[in-house]
Amino acid sequence: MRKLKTAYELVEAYRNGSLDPVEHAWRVIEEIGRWEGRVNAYITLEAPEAIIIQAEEARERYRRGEHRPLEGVLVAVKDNISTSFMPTTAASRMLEKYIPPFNATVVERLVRAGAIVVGKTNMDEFAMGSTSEFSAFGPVRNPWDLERVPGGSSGGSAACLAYGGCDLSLGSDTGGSIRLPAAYTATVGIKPTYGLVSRYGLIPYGNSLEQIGPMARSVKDAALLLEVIGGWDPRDSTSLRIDPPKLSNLEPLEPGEASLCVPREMVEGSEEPVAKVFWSLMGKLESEGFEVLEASLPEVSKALPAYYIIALAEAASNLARYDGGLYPREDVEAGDYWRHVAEARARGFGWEVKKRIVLGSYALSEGYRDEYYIAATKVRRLVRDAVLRLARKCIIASPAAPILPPRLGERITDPLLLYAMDVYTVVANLAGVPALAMPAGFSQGLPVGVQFMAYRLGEDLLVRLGLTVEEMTGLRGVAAGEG
Amino acid sequence: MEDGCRAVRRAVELARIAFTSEELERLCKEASRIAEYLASVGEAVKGLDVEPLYHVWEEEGGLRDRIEDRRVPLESFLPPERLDGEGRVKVPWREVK
Repeated sequence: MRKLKTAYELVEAYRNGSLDPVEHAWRVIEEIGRWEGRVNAYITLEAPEAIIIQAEEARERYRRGEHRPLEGVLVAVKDNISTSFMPTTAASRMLEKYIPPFNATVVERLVRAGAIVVGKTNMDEFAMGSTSEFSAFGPVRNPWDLERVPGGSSGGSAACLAYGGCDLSLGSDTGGSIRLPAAYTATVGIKPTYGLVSRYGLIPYGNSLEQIGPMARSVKDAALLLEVIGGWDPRDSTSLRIDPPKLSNLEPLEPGEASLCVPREMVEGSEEPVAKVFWSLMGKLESEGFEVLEASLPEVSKALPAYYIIALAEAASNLARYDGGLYPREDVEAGDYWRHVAEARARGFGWEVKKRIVLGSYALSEGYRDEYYIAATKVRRLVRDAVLRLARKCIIASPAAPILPPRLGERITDPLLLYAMDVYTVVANLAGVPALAMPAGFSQGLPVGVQFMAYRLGEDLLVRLGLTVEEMTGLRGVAAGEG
Repeated sequence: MEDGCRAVRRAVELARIAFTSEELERLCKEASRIAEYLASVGEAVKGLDVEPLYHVWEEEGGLRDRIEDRRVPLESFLPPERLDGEGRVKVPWREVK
């Protein structure tokens, strides 16, 4: 294990002249060269020369005192977030040659803040997966143990942070796709309140559930990035009409300012090493004076199937646009229209995506809609109301994942085992509330993450608690590899 | 899933995806098992008077009444080597394996 500079420390060092953005950029490029062949975190990488030119411009801006909040910070962007200057594939053969004609709002906000986009990160195809193994560009490996997965679907965004191949990254979270990889790589990830961050330019999977969010090596870094990308966007009709959140200069949470509660349904199913690290952290918080209460959320027992029905139904609808026409494929011959569509989709999509589209079509089809989709939306109301009731009283704490990072291939052979990895994270997506995942500790040399959920727009509370926890664990800025 | 593969075949038609017979056999097994698990949500709301929830905040979305051109000019952050001078960008590539 080693410690790397956080983005916040980098900006401070650039500002006071103790570190040169160009020198740092070269260091990150070297890390990418050292790790990338084994980890496969990136689908597309910016040319080193282009990164250095931008770092030189950042250096000039610091010299002139005209630096912006993320000036010279190297940011990796998940490959389902549109960039007009790099391909955006969503890790799918279907989009392997697609270059969006526009930037996602979050990308525009990044470059306006002075960030350097270093590359597009690998992921599960169309964000459908929990391990980052379902990619047309090959699986991502966990830098902490190359035989294991980094979690998914934002596995590339987490893995490149964990080996020092970027300073910050963007992920997207439909049912835990930021928090699971954060937990498995000892990094920090925030799933923002639904509507806080614009989804304009995000290739959709489950619109009513997903949010783009920050990933980082420290809580303060994640807060800084969320501050840059958050706030109302007139291009996204689901974005909340609020100003960008103020999160980057908050103080750690003190005992007495908020209590924590642990729903037993969100711990009981955890394997022993995970539960041990989680309860050890809760014990430390208690010994510091925080109130940690036991709670119950029986409604979450049906959260996982409800989440999957809604996500798959939305996916079936969203992915209908890939008909071989709008995003054409050269390897499918023209001919009968419907045969052409079916063939293009057969060749363009991977197995997991095809399976989810079929299941989503099934859940929405005549005769099954009430039994599946409508029932799931009713369960969603029960879950949302229960979570909001509890979150009004306390910050909800649980492990981020019920198991340690699995070995490659271990979970993808059984779809139900794979889906079960999301059991604690889908709750926040169904309820629309913010959730933070961060390192709680290590077990058998592998990272274990904790998850905190707050009330709607309670990101400030989560960041403050995260700062407190980070002080306790001492895991700020940790990275894989020898120091 | 009712009547095993028949229901899957119907969903496959709706999904507009071509499958080989071997793939269809595998899909039937996997999808039937998943659908059976997912059907358990029905039990949770049986007999309850609950309205479906489609949008988590149940509010009207922000109407698009203020669309300004917010595009950041490419030349403001990309080096000249990446631009072809006619408003287009040279992009890095990686082929699918």
